[in-house]
Amino acid sequence: MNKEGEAKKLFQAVSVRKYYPLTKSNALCDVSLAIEKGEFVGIKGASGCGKSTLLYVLAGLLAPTSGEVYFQGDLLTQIKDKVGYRRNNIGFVFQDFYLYPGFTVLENVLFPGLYRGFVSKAMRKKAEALLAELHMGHKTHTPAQVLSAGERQRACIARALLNDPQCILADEPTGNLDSNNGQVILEMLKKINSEHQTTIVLVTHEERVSRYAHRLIHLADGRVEYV
Amino acid sequence: MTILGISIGVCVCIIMLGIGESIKHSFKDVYGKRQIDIVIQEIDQPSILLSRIDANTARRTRALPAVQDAGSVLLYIYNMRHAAVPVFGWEPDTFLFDAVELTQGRKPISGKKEAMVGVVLKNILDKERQTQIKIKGQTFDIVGVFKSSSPFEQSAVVLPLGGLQDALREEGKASFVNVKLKTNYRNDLAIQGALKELEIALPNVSAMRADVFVAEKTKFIVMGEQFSLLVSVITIIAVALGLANTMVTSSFEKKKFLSILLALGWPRLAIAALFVCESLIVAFMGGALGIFLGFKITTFIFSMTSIQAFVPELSLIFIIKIVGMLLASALFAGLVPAWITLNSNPVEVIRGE
Repeated sequence: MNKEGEAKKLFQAVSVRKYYPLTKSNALCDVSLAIEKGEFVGIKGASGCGKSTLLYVLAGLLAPTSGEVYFQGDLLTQIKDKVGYRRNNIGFVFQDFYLYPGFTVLENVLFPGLYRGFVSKAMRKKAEALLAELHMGHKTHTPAQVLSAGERQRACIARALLNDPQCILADEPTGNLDSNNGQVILEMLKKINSEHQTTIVLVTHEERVSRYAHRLIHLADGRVEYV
Repeated sequence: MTILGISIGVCVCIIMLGIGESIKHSFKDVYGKRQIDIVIQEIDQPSILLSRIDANTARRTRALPAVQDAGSVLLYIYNMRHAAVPVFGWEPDTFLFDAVELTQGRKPISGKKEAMVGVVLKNILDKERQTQIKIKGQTFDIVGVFKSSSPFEQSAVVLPLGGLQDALREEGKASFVNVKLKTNYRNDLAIQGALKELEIALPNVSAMRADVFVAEKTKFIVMGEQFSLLVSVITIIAVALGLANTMVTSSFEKKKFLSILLALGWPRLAIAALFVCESLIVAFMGGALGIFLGFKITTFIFSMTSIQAFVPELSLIFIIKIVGMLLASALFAGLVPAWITLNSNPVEVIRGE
């Protein structure tokens, strides 16, 4: 790939196919797309159309059966330190939050930095600042299990932002939220996208995401239907 | 529950290995602390209780140039109401009395029906308001109480040699003679030379190095220890399997938790280290509790026997043995789920497949 020409592209997928031998099904078929830095992209489609698979392929958690995925011009399969790639470039927001009960909100937010066994003061300050930015400053020392669903998802967004990722991959982040909280989360992601220039790739069923995303990619049966 | 299971396993090891270790050390102390180099006893007599030699052997031994001092000892086991108590007849004015410290009263005087007792035995006698001891029909007044570095002696009665000979009707007899060499003879070569001299001067007795004597007399303990070690290893393996089972079960329960960590950018090795650390912490807590319980139970067992003064010894080597076995098992127990985690696909777990 011409790196200079592709400088603006954060992700590029070329003819990506993902086959699951267990279910003998193609989750992704000949998917080609590009996502530019600073974009807010929504990936829409019916359940089982391959949205989440595409997200995990972009994250390097799943290897494509065939085809190529590039991150900033580098072939993802050739990046040896996939964990480092994820840690430094990707923030995850899940539908089910996956906060650790028994730990405070702050501790949960600090988890991505805890792999060394300790967190620096600077990282702790940053986590506190992120929580404040997401209107969670008053919940810093609250145990995660007592938060409301909306608060949990805000804590997850703070956790995703801790390592200053270039991109947030959000898998149905509003799926477990009521309409109001869902809107708050989408607004926050939009704000993060515009203020931090963080690329957002959001997998969703929701129609209203079109109000926030720069563009939508529609998937059907593992194929890009239209962009 | 796992911690309790480990602690019971370690407790068993401590009891099994600790008892033998303690008795062996205490036996060694009798000789080591007194700096006894050579022990003379009856030829071909494996039992120290049955050994009988001429008490004059000590006097003849003292005449040898390498010998600093020698003392005859007559040993007898006295059956008290609750336990068997060792009774020593020590040759007066010899170095044998130097290794004990009087805490009450005075030393028994030769020719009088007097005895001194170890502090542990004194406590037992006090409970029974006993101020005298009756041996083979003869009554001895307790005139002194002593402390000794050897638990054997802490619960023993000490009489002047003549007094015990008289009570046992074994005039002129001793069980063995303890020999202390002069400082410049306290090396391997000189001890060998002294043994040869003794062989020539006293052809009817058996003289051997004190360390060889101790090793021989504690042979049954060493054999017991080897058996105990085997049982302990089996116990620790059982503990390791139990711990591994807990850790593997825990890894299945935490699979989602761990997969999220992978997605958040945690290296697999850091996640594996979590298991190993958890396993080591559980093993450490169980081990500490087990060592404490083992120590207490062993002390209790000793208190129920004739060797009440024994204190289970937790020597560094002994602790290293137990802790080493435990840590090795904890490492194994932690590595099994760590390996499972390292080989799992986080996406399948996150998506609940």
